[in-house]
Amino acid sequence: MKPPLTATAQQLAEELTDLNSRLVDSLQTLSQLPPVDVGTASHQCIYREDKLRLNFYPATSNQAGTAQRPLLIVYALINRPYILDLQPDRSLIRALNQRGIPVYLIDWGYPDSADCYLDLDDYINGYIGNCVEAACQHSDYDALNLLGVCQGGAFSLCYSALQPARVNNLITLVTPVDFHTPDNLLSHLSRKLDVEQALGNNGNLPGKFLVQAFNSLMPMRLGLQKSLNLPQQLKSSEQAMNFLRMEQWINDSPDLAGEACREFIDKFYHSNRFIEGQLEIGDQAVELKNYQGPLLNIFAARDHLVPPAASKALAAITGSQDYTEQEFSGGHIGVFVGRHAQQQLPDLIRDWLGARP
Amino acid sequence: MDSNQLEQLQQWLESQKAHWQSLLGDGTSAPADWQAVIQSCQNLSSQQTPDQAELTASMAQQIKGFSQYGEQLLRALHQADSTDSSKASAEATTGDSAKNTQNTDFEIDQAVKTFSSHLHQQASEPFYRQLQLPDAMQQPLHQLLQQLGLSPSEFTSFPFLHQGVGSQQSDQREKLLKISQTLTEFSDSMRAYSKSHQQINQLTSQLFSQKLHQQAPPGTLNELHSLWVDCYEQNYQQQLHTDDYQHSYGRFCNATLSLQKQLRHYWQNEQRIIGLVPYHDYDQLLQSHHKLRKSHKQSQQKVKQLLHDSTHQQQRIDALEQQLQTLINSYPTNTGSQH
Repeated sequence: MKPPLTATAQQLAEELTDLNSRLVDSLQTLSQLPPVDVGTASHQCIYREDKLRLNFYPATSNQAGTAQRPLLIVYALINRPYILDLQPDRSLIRALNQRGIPVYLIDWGYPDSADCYLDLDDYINGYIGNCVEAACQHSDYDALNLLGVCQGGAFSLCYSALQPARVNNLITLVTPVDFHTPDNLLSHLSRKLDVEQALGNNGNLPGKFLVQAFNSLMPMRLGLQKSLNLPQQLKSSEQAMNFLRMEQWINDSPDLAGEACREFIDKFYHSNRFIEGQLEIGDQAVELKNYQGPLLNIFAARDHLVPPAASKALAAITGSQDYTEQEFSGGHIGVFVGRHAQQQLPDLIRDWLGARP
Repeated sequence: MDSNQLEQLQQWLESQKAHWQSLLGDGTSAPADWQAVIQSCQNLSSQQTPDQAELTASMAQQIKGFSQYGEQLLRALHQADSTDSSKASAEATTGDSAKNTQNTDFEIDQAVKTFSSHLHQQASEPFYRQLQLPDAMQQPLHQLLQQLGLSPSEFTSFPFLHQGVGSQQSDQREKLLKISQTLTEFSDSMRAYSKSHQQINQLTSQLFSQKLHQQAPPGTLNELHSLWVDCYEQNYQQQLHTDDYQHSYGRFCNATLSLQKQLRHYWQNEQRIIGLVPYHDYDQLLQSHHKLRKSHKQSQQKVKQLLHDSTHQQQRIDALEQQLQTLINSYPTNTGSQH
């Protein structure tokens, strides 16, 4: 057998010495860091309901020359929406504001036991409906532009089908539509789970459970290898803060309201209702054909959570008369926090919305 | 980190450096005590979030394991280097090289096996930790139940309570039976799931070894580690897409969750006896709370709509009154007197 390494003993000793030095440096870096700060773009809360907050981020420039119709962003219930404003140079919200687009963002908060019976009707017809109402009142528009991210995209599709007159333009970002594509690993695994058993003491699906489930899709890369290569990420305070902000977001996973979670898994992961039809939210039938306004569907080429095929299925079932698809390189999160995404994604949104005032 | 802790870490680093150097020579310098690093991580944790503290501890743990494995490999490589030198001189005198080469290869082959085994162990520790179940699953059931705090004897210091609890013996027997059934399912499903992982581990080792034979060897230990991770993820992804794996994953998750849930709900009757609100009752309250909240919001919406309608109607009335007033005002005032 060949030796497993080309390194000599001397070189290996140097590598180990270097690794040990970097470990000590990392501990020093960590000890000098301030608390991690996220979501620092200037905003004000304009509406509150239960745990929910609707935050307004005003435009910081007037590129179009006239005030632009605001964009309401509906984020997923999984993880926190500050990923859209992680830090000043990785912030989709700031980038949109800089391009003259005022933004409203729904922050769902952290559901507790009092919220375990919230269902999809509460979220879509209730919370989203009320946020649209509040944002319309605040901005003096009758209809808004809507951007849904991941699960929030599925919610936005439902809402725009139920209240098409309230949605001027719809954008879906890394949004699952066909939950039964063969490459949708998350769907395969979640269909084997008995959600009823997974609900915790407070009747909700523990956020920790979700973090573990996502990590278990690449256990070694996201476990051993990440830990071992951590000193690389902690070389300087700036690098360390960048890394820790993302880490904080990954682990900051609120519990999911039990009933809504059960309903979402049943209607989408199990029954694939967007594709199979007969989707009902509350007591209302959801027909995606009802929304006929412009629709921009953005997905990521290497998305292992929502594979492109799962998003592209929207083309066949939407009623939009003005449907556009756009693929971005990168993965599920990289599409809006990756370095390239800071320029390309907001430019695309500005141009697409600008052409559809 | 204060200057004292920093100094300790620097001392630790100097000892490690000396140790690595000594392994290239006489090997007399002992490895530094990792406790200094672990202690620094613990001290640091007070100024970190729990997730950051866990990540820092995990980094130290991985680097410790990596360094320990690195030490074995370093010894093997050093021996190989020495053998090469002596072999060269031996060949020069006797022309016989086969025996020494075989020994060296065995050491390195062994080191690779140890590497795989080390990484499998590193990988499985966090996996079992995330199950959030006691470590003692392999112990006999009664010991396990005691450890879980499920024995009524736990209440001996509260005699009045023990009496109430004691009256629920048949209920307890039934619950214990259910838990025992769930434990059996848990144990069977874990066995099946472990088998899937053993297979992944085995395939990883095979692929790892195959790649080491077929490709140019990595230049560093870190690259060797990355190669192993690539091999693991490749096999893991293949397994993840199979029905068998998905079935065993689902079965194991459900058994684990079911066990966790039963443990949470175990004391419901006893909670009721001593005047606490059991989970079931609390859950019903939550359900009623939600219904009321929903109905309240719907009423609010209706009130809002009614207010809106009312305002609209009032505006129409005001407008009509204004029109009427205008008409009245425009009507000639002497019309009546003419009639």
